[in-house]
Amino acid sequence: MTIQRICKKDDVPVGSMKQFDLKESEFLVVNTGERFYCLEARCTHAGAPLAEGDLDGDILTCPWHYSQFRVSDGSVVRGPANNPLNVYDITVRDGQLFIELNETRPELLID
Amino acid sequence: MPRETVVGNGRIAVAFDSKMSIRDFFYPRVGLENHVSGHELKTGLWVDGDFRWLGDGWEIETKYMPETLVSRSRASHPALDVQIETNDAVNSQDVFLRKLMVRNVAKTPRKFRIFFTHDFHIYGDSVGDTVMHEPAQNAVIHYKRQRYFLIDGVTSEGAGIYQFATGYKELPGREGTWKDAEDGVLSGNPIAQGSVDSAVSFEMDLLAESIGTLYYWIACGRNLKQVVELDSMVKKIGVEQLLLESENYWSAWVNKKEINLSILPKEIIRTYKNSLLIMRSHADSRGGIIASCDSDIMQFNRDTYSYIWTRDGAIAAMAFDMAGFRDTSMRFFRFCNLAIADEGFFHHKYSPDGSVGSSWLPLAGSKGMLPIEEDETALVLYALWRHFQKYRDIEFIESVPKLVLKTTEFLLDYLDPDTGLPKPCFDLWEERSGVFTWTASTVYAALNAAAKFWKVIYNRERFEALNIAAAGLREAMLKRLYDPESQRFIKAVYPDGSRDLTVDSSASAVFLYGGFDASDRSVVETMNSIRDKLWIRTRVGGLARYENDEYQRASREVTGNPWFICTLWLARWHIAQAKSSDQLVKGLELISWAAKHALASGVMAEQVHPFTGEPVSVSPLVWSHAEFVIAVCEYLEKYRELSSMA
Repeated sequence: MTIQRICKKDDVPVGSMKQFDLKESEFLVVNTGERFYCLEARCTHAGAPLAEGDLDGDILTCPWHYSQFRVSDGSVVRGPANNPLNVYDITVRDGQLFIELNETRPELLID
Repeated sequence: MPRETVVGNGRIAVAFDSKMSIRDFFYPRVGLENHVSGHELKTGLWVDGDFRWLGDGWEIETKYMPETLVSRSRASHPALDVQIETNDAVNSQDVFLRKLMVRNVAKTPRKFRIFFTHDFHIYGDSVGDTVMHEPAQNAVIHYKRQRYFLIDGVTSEGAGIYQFATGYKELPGREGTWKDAEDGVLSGNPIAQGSVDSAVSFEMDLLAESIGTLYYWIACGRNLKQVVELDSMVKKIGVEQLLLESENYWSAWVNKKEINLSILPKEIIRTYKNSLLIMRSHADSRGGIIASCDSDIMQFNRDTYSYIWTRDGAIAAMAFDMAGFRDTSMRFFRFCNLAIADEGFFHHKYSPDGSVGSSWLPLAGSKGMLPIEEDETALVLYALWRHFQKYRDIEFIESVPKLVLKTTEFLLDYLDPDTGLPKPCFDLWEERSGVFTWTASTVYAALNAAAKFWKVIYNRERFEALNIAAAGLREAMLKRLYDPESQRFIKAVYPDGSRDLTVDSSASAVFLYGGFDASDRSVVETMNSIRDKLWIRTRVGGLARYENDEYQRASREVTGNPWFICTLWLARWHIAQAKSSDQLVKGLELISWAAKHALASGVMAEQVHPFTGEPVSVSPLVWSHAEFVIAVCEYLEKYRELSSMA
């Protein structure tokens, strides 16, 4: 397991989400106001960029086909997606966000 | 009316207006053969006897699905209690696809009929077209010579075309079959020839507060067999799957991963990706990159922007290269290698088949001046060097020899031995002839590029000679195009010796193309005068082209309309001269200005209205998008450079 700095806390204001690229992988950082979450950045249905979707509380809606996921655990709330999003542990330290990466990295979009 | 979105596949480009109507339909080349030419392929809705065309009275929003060339429009009509959502795309096999979802908002079950009209002008005119119903496929086919368009569809319940009509248009007493649709019933006339059009309808029964889905497509081909086969393919695979493939294709295309965009604000990342996709929709698979697919400008001068200006194309190629999209730029250079005149220059503009385009540059210019804009030649050579500098693909350069050898000879020959400047030609704005700071700057860049090519590939002695020529040109620019009194570069020197002191944003070329450092005093004063004289002091802002610009002038209260490209040149200057991260802020603000003034879909026009911010002139303009991409790439490069120093 490795710990990686992903962004500054201020990069993701309350109620928003943003994609960050780390070592060719894409991560979605979400700030619900209560806490930060980090998930894989592409929808498990068709690969849509989730950062362009809508965030309502802790429910994230995919911008392409409107699948919904719960950001706290990545679970599917509404299809067409069947599979949950990978979720990564995230910590805040000195205004910076760090994520813990293990073997289950999001799939690369392009090799 | 600006185009809200453009979808395509390199052979087809389809452009939509704000009413979700198709207004331009190019096939089989992007930019050549507009089979709609600004006429309208409309969508209408009939609900329990009430008929409305999409447009007036509807609330419509059109965007792209993020990171794709698949558009998404949402329309609602409060009086009809209905909401519509469409997705449009062109798949890789030359089928235009539309998915249309209808939501019955009412609390009662209702019957819906959806209408599509087809006002094709095949090969650009309405003479000798045929439209017919094809019973075996239950499809409607428009054709003329080698162009066939087959229209078909199916509802999610499996029902095909419900009714159809073919008929006559643009004739006395014959408005077109679209009129036939307004009673909700189509006549079923099976064939018409001449100036013709068609309409088809689909019927759906929707329960209260339920959604129905309709899939509709236009298959394009050169004969009946081709379009019937495509129709069968779509029926077999399904539009849902074909749309998904288009979404995935474009998402994979635009996410090259060569550049980390994470440090940018979200709206700039979005506009950057949209820009690349919109530029790509204007790039023909055989290399040409047209300036704009918007044919509405035809109302202005009976011609369009659907040509390849090699200036615009070269700048787009530079943007593609900087962003990592070398395939598209290489196709463009190959196109140029075939299109270049024997004398080594590029003509005013070209059609996508490589033939010389229409022109308004007179042959009998002053003192034997060629009817060209020399920067169009210079920028291709410069862009090619930039390409090589990044990719080092010497074998590719060898495959486009004319772009180096012929252009070099031409640019050298076209230097005036008396002044050291290029001989007169037309300017980048295509309004005046003379010797322009913009043109001289691009020729300087091209001679430098030529010198480097000669050093790498051909002959080192030639390298020295070309370097000397470039240095001589730079010196001549300082002597004749720089005004010591105002301490800035001027717009032009004319053949009669007069100097044009108009403050013109195109003087930005002195740093854009490497002639002078962005921090050089001469450049700083030039850019300060541009900013001071041309910034539009309204709530819209932005930079005008030059003082008292009359082209499409919207108001006499300001000096001209704001242009995207000019505003982005100012951004690039702030970026180029930044010495610390803090000094990059102004450049980013101007990039944000461009993103903010694009349409919701991300489309950038040529200009915007100085008071309303609405698009003016063609929309989209590839050059606007290319300058946006270049500015973002330069920003990122400078950010990295300054961050590493810190």
